[in-house]
Amino acid sequence: MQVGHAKSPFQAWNLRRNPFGELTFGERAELAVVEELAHWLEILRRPRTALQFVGDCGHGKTTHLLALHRSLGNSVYVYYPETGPRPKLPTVRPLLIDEAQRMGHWNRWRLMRGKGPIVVATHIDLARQLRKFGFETVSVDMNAPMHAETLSRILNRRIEASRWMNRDPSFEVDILLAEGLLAKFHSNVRAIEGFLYESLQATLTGRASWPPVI
Amino acid sequence: MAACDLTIELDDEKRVYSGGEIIAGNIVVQCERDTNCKALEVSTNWATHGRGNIDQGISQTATVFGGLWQAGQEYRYPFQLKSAEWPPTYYGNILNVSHSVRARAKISWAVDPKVEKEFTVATSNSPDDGLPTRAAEKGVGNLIGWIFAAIIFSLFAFFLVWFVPIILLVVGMIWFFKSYLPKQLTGVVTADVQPRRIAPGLPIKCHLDFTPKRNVSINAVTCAIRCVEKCVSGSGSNRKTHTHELFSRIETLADAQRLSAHEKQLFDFDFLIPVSAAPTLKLSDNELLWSVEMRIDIPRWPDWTETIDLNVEPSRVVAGESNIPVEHPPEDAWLHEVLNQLEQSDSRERIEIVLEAIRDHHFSMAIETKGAMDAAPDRSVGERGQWLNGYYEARDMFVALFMPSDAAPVASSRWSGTVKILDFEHDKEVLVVKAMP
Repeated sequence: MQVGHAKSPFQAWNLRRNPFGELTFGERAELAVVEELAHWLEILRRPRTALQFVGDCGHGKTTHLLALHRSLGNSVYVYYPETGPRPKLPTVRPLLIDEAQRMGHWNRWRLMRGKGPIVVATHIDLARQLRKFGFETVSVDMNAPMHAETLSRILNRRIEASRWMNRDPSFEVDILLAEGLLAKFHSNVRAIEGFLYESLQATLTGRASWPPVI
Repeated sequence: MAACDLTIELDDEKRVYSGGEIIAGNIVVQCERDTNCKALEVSTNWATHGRGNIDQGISQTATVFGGLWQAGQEYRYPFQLKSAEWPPTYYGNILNVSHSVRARAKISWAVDPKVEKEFTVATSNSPDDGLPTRAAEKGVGNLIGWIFAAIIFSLFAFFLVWFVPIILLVVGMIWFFKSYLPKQLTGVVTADVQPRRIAPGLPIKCHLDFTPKRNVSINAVTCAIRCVEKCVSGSGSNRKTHTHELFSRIETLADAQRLSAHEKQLFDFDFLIPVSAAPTLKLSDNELLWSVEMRIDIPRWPDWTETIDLNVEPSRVVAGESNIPVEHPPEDAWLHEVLNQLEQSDSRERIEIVLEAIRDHHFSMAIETKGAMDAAPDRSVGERGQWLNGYYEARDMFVALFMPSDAAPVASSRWSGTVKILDFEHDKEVLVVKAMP
């Protein structure tokens, strides 16, 4: 009977870890696949612009924000927690605000009265208010269908980053598998990662084979 | 593209390191062009990976170089860093703990090259902030929490006063159904597990007693030992708790029956913690928890239940010496753990607990024999045979080996076979075993 062990089950697959597990904020930013990054960075050069990512949980809003934060250099990322003390809004711009729908009216008013550029990730559409305060607003619907190629790139980047030795990983997520995942989970990348995490664990312990049956 | 290639070479890559042991090796640097390195930093780290938010820590950091690297040259920088003492390396299902050496070259106006190399850490002791101490700390935390809550409550008392009846009603209902009602039938129930801090391969004693207040039918009395990985991912409204049951054993202490009023019911149950058991881990968002849940299942009535947490220590067999490989055959590891426990037993009662726990188990041993014993151990085997002097080299331990008369004669001075452990004479440090067919 084996109740956990000290020998890595991942190395046989040339992996250090399960690629579909949780990552640190830094790793998420590093591995993000943001196809229109250059375009958005160009938009954010203008002083009074707002870029908003609207969508449900698990669709990549935070990952996009972190990737932009990494590329913008001197920007500030602010996460609005659901409970507890509210963060102070810095005057530094570009300002990136995660979970912006949690901001109270007063803080939202302060944000929109201030300078740009700003980037928000939100569950509810704030475009009307942003425009009302004079922001040139670009809205990105994160719930929109994703291309299988994009999903394949996202997942294969994670596999690549989890590589153990300096040779090709033992497996990849091909277009066919990506299409199957999108058909089942739509563009909810978090749900896809959760499914692939369990599928890979089952494969490593001999309970299933790869690729997983969707 | 990174300005340089970094590689980490450990002096002994396959070694299993003890917690806190020094890891030695070299950082190898190769550059394609002249590069000014502000600092070459090396550190020993541990980190979780899996479904929970990442918990991590740095054990030791050192800057091994700063200066100019010339194109085409290879540079080697030796390092010696201390590994983290806790937690040990662990690979489970939704929770894993890895240790690694990380190196990073800080280079101006370029992507910092970095590299990471994993190594295995085994440790023989849980930290002092294991379960008992932690409970005490929790108690202090609770006290501060209660004071804080009381201050908040007094500040908003006027507004909260309308909720007090609802809160009291909910708390009262929980108490009524979870505690009051079951005890109306079972009476006061005493449940205990000893010891609560235990090493793998060793037995725990579970005890349950109660005296029903009236005649009562039960479906069963059960004792469930569970090991669960529990990880939290995300935060706020995105917070999600993932659990994975690694181990579960439910022992039925009593089947369905009718119990008479005022007749004391007493249940004792020994359970051997698996030798390969993972240790209890309590990291911030990642936990590995062992527990014993005792249940009196009462038909058409709320069950009586109590859950007692265990603190399972890392296996001493794996981590006792740093050069002992982790991949011990489980049976061999178990034998060593049992022998550890027998040697460490400070009372006859404790030895009996261990012997009782391994009563039905046989072990493979290779024993050097040296003739018949002058004085047989003070123990009846219940069959004809011969007692031989023995020596178990792997543990530097003397053995009294009973060979049944129908067993094959010992042809050489070295006997190998399956044995049953009958006793351990603590004063003489002699292991008493019987050869099995």
